[in-house]
Amino acid sequence: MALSDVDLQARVQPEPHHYEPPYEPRHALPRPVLRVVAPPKWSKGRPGMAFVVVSALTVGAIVLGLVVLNVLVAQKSFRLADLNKAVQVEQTRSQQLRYQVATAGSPDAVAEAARRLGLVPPERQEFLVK
Amino acid sequence: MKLRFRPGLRLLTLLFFFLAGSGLVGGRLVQVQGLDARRFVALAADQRERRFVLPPQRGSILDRSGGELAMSLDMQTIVANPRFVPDRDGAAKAIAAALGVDEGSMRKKLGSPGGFVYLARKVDPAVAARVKDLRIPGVETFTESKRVYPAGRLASQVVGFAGLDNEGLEGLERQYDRRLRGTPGELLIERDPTGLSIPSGVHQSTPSQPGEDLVLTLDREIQYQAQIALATAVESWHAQAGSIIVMEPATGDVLAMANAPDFDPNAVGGSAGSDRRNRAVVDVYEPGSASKVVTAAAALETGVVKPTDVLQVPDEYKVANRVFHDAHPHRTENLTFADIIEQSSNVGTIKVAQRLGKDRLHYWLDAFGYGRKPGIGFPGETGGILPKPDKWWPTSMGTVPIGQGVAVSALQIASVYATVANGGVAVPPRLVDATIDASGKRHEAPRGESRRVIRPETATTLTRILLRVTEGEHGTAKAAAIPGYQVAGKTGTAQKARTDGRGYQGYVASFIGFAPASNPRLVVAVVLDNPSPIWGGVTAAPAFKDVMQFSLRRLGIGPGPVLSPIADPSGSVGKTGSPLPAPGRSGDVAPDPGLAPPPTGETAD
Repeated sequence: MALSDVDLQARVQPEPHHYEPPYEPRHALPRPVLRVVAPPKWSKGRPGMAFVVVSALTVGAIVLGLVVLNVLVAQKSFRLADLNKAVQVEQTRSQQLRYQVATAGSPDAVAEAARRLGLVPPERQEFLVK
Repeated sequence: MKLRFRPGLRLLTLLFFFLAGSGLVGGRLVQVQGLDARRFVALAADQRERRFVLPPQRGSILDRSGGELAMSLDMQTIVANPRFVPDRDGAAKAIAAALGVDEGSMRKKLGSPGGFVYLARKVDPAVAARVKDLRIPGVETFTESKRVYPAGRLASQVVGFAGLDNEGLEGLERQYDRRLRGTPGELLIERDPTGLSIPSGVHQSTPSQPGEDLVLTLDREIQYQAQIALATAVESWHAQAGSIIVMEPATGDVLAMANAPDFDPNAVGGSAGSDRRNRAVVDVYEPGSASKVVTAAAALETGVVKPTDVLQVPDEYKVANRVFHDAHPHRTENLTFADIIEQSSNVGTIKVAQRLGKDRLHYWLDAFGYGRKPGIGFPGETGGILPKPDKWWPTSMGTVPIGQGVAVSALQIASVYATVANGGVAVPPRLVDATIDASGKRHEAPRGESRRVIRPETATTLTRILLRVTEGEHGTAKAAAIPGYQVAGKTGTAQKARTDGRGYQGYVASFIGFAPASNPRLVVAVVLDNPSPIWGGVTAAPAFKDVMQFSLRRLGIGPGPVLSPIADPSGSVGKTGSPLPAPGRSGDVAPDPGLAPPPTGETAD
């Protein structure tokens, strides 16, 4: 049976407990006293998970907020555009009405209307003097 | 054969290419972000941002009581990018039907190779809406302001008109263009690739400033009446053209300025250039006998003659090598100076003028405004023609005193009579009363300086002489008389100079007068170009009567006290018993500093 490269590599690698550190004279440094430390209470699960969740929530909230804000601004903008359009329409209408009034009130139109109604210019005028 | 490289060389080659690539990218980065940063920022901005010019609303032109003579309306302009119109023939048919225009012309427009074409400019919003409803890709509408004239032909030559791009081209529209036009604004917006505005993008708006409104001195009712009377006179007497001016002598305010023929400023394209001319201000004519009022004023003011002085007046008189005639043949008569003016005797007037001499006559013509622009600043305003005395012909002492060889505009001659009516004080005429700015604040137009021309007594004496023109037995303008009122005035029937300067052809008839004579409130000048018959007393006087009568009624001006004509020995006391006030006559106006003192004593030539 042929061995794979991984298997082969595994076979030639020494076992970790066979590892021997380089030689150092034992009297050079005092050996430190080691003790077993209990893991911190807050990282009972997978380390950094809480951070990821909080970060994701924060980013999500910010993105959602921005989207909502953008939608609101867009809505207001459309409303503003609609109102501007309405103002423009009303302004145009107001101008047209002003024009109609000015045209109807011009002496030519008034004289024509008066003629149609049978009015005539006075033949003479009298002044009352005290 | 397989090529084999040493690993070191291979690594060095790779490193070289990597460094070269990095150098190129880095260099480009420095160029884009550093050296050409501004250009790229501008390019990016140009791609996203768009600037729109916000055109200002052009100011209105109003008559003295606020009636609109010119105003601006928002209209719709329809444009297309033919490249984006899928079915051009179909689109042309549909748009032409909506606009009510020829389909062929629309097809031609949509068939143009360019990327922009006007389909219709400044059409009614309702019409534009019909086109919009077709929802044709590549066809758009936008708002443009259109100049309209609700009173149509009323004062059309005075108001003038504005062009398609709202710039004043003639009349007051041109003279006051800068003030009427306003200041454009600007809108800067950021757009998405489809061209829609990005709500949260750049949005900067500088609103436009509307133009100022112009309030005229014209009264549109009087203007209308003047135009009707003028049109009637021109038609009745087969005149080529004519002008009427109504003026307040005390203020110089022009209440009406009518010209015939006229034009409709709402359809300028169909009018002749000559119809658009404000003849009353830009045209000159030789005033003829209407100018005798200046000769008379000069003679009375200098004392060379008194109203009751008698002169021997034949019906012809030789000056230099030319014989001057009276209008009608008559025996040599003994006429008073007042008679001479009443009957408009050329010979009598020339004889009086010879007592003045040419320098003094020139001085007084100049003092009354001949050869000077009246000062309303109207485009093309003329000052008339008054040759200097050293340029006069030997016959000029025959022509100038009777109003030939000098030329004035209708406005100038109206101002001459306004000076007499105002007790000898000349008040510069005005067409614009005030402007109203965008905030609604009214700014009165500056008034020109008044100047005294003749003494109040001279003005009163002259008025009493001019009364006889409409009231006297031999008066030449009885048709100008208004029942219940006293009218002072003078006819003019002048030869019309040829435009090529070679003699005369035709006549200009006129009547200029004021009322009520005892306290003149209005001056009316009527000038008819080449009427038939030629006489001012026959053709111009009736139009004067119509306009003056209407204006007096319109302004509620009563007849006032009665002023006795000059020959009346009872003098200048009103028959109503009240002593006559000097008509509008403030005697405290300083003499015109611009005028040299009148020359004294000179031998007539």
